[in-house]
Amino acid sequence: MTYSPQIGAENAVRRVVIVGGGTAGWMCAAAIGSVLSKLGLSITLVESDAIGTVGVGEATLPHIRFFNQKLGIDENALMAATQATYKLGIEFKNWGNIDESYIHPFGDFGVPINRVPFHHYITRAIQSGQNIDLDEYSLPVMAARRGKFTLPSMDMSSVMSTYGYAYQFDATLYARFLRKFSEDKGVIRQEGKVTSVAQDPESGFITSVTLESGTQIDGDIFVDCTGFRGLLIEQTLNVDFDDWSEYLPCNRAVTVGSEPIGPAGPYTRATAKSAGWQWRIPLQHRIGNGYVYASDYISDDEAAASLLEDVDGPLRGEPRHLRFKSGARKASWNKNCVAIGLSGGFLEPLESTGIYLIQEAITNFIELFPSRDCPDPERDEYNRIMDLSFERVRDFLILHYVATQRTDSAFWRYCKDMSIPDSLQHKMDLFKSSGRVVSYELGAFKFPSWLAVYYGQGIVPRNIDPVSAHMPETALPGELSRLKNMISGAVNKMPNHTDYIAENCAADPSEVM
Amino acid sequence: MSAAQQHIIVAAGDLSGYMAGAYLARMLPAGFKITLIRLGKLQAAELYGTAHPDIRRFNKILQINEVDFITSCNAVFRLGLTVCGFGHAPYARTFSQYGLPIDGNGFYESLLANGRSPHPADLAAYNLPAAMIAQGKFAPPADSSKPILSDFDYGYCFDPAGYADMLCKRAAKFGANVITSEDVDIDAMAGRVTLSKGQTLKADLIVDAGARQIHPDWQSWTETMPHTAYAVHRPQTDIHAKRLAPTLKASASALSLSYDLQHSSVEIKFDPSGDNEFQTGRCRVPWTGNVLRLGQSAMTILPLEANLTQIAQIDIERLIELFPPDLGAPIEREEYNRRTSDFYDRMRDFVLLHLKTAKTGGAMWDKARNLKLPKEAGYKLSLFSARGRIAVLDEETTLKDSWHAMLLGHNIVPERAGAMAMNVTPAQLESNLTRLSKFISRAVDAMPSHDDFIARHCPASKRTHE
Ligand SMILES: Cc1cc2nc3c(=O)[nH]c(=O)nc-3n(C[C@H](O)[C@H](O)[C@H](O)COP(=O)(O)OP(=O)(O)OC[C@H]3O[C@@H](n4cnc5c(N)ncnc54)[C@H](O)[C@@H]3O)c2cc1C
Repeated sequence: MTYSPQIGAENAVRRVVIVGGGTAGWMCAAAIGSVLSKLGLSITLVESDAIGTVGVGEATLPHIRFFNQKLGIDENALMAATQATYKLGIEFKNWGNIDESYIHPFGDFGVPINRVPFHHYITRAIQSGQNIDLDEYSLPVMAARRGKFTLPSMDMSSVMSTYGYAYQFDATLYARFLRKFSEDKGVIRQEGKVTSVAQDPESGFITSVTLESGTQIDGDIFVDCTGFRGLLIEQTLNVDFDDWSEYLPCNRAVTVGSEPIGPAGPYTRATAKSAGWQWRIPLQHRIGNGYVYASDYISDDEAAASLLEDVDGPLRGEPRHLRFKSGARKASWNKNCVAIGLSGGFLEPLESTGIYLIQEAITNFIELFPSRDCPDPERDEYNRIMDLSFERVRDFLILHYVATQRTDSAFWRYCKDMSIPDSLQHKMDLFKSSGRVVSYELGAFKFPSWLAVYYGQGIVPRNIDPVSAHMPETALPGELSRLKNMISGAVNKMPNHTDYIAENCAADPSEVM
Repeated sequence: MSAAQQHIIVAAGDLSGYMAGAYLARMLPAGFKITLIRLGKLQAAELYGTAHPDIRRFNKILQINEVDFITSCNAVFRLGLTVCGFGHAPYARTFSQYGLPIDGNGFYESLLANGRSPHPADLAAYNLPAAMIAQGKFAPPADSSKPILSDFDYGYCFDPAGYADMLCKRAAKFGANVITSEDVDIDAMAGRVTLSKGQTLKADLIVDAGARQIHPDWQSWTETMPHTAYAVHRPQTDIHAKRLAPTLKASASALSLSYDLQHSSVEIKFDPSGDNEFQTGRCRVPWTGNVLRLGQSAMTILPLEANLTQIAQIDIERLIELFPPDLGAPIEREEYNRRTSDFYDRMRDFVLLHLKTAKTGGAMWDKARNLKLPKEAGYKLSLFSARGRIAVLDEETTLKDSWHAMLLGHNIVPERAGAMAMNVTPAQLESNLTRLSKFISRAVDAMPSHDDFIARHCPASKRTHE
């Protein structure tokens, strides 16, 4: 028997054209250029200075570390180049109710006892009238609250291994960093605005894009990274967009930078407001702020005024307004075009999932990197995975809005009573009954994330897991305080976040923008 | 939780019921009363005689000592499954993986990119347990994390009747009431179980594990798995060079599963003239009202992965993981049914793809190959045929490596799998393979034979098993 399941030379992809040089475009260029370097591809990235990028996207998820590692990027160098800080989670203020706050951390709450997840013991303690603060049972939450950071331990038996981390960085600097990285790998950057797109009359495959200057760029595969425009996927191939605004009504943002006051915290803050929420993302050299709101409930001017009211330091620059829509492309890989980034779908930025979804898309696209004819099996698998990824993040985001007791504004009254997807309703009903969390293979947010938001927004299960009753009532306080002390002891020993940055990845002050 | 004690009756026809009785008694706290009813002779016993490594976790929770288990159940060690007659050569599926990634590229992709055979029959030298199976050598995995040496796992081939007895004792020790009845009549509406002597018990939950009740919502699979009966043979009484893996064998006229125990061997032949009836299919809704079906009552499937014990265990653990605080109107039941249904369908896909891809000659197999695959199974096959990639679906428990070994073992060669691994040069591949096979053969050489290992550590006495 012979085995040569190779793609014949005549059917191999030779030219990849990436249209768009935002975060998505440069992440694609860097990944394809390095991971598939042996394929001898010619990779061209087209971007237009006249159009520019959205320029937001500052908070990330831990997955980004694996993306950078795979590319061989040094973490400290990257952090220094992007003014980055560490992120242990997101603080949600005023979500379940006004004056409440919780942190959704990148990490666990306790360890199972008798095969029963730890949170059932927390529920039991709450039910028996003890005053319990879930925060105290998560190392990353306590570290975030106290402004501490160090890298997690590799020793899985240590409490110091129970968390992960991500970055808070300047997205424009990240794209610039990746641009240099990509160009070093041979990616060709072409400045100019695409004004026309040619398709094969029979297959509908895209054959070339032409710039304003008249330059024509031919390709076998086209990656649409043109942002909300969807120049190829929508304007050329007419692929529909699934609009999820009814579940995620925020559709605008107004953003502004401010001078840091006090040390940068290792976490992002999302404060719920009358028509949406406001982010506060501390970087090394500035704080990013933005009010994400629903235009049905507040005007742009009111939103801008409200943003500024809640910014705590002197402003850097003028407020910028952005429009968007939450939803996903029906099939973000169509013919020989794959839409990655905002063109492929966008879920409002509450859980910092923008860059994560870009990374998912790139990883899957590379794993399924096709021959020129883009066969169905590869495309179907890619679209299946991306649909699931978007849908599962969507359900998790909706939870933040629907799990509220707020009725102080029309926006919150809408959210509290809106109808939600069956898939989410089932998850919530199951949790409310006995604290069980629906599990799945693919999807960004797993068990501890759901717990954090449920408890943080006041959804405490009516019942505990019956198996947890094996632990005698009298042993419970001891068990709980043991973990609490272990965590606070470990946090005591951690360095301050800002000291840790100063020692490992401080940005060069002369490069401050 | 309501203050009144809740009563759970497990009607144990097949091994799954015994496992459930013991596990529920162990895991559920005071406040639950468990009655385990032994229904006459153990049903479908031989189908359950092959266990995946998960059983060791199960036994640990039940505080069953390993040597007791082995000696009471006439057990031998199991490292996987030997599959014959489905592809051009026999191959092993193990509780481990073939090869190691090369420079971040998948092992099979690297082989394919270099025009090398990815057929598992040609790769036993690169899979420690496969090499152990081939040479009849056994030693348990190293405890600390040593690459390869601690990366495999083992289960057992065992006598389910011996295990059922042990489980009854465990159940009783954990407070269950263990009784015997030739058969039972389950009145689901009334939540009542009537024993053969006429006594009636009331229950809040009835676990029907092979009670042979008629299920109105049975979804038949006989169209695609047309095996209606099986026969059991015990060809030998004293086994030397006991196999470390059961053998699944397809031939023109038959399909069989056989395995060795310490003092006997078992052969299950799927054959219409066999005296054990076998109707494949599953309950559409495994848990309806207050009756939960388990084991053969919930799903009857060809044991082509030899994992019926594992399936039962996963169901039982899922039941405990989701155990409702109130058995009246539980959303937990809905979740159990959702996950269990998906789980059963994924097992079904794995079995059907054996039939679909078998290269076995004969009219019986021609017919099997013509089956129309369910959507998910068809999807899996077409993605693998194209790219050598296994689509990961929810509730899947079959190891990715088992999927790979199965499809490659049945000569499904992916069309375009090598593209990603173009980076791996022939020299790089060669040196990687040589290093790995040397390491593995040295490790296997140092191990005792399976027979010697058993004789030294856990010999079963012969008398108890005759
Ligand atoms: C308010 C807001 C907050 C966000 N916060 C976060 C966050 O905290 N974390 C996170 O991970 N994500 C966040 N995101 C998402 C994140 O910003 C985006 O996912 C990310 O910036 C990727 O954008 P992009 O590259 O797809 O598009 P863009 O940045 O819009 O880039 C589009 C590119 O296409 C080029 N282009 C367009 N048309 C043409 C043409 N005709 N010819 C040539 N070039 C063209 C442009 O020049 C530009 O280079 C946020 C998004 C919004 C809207």
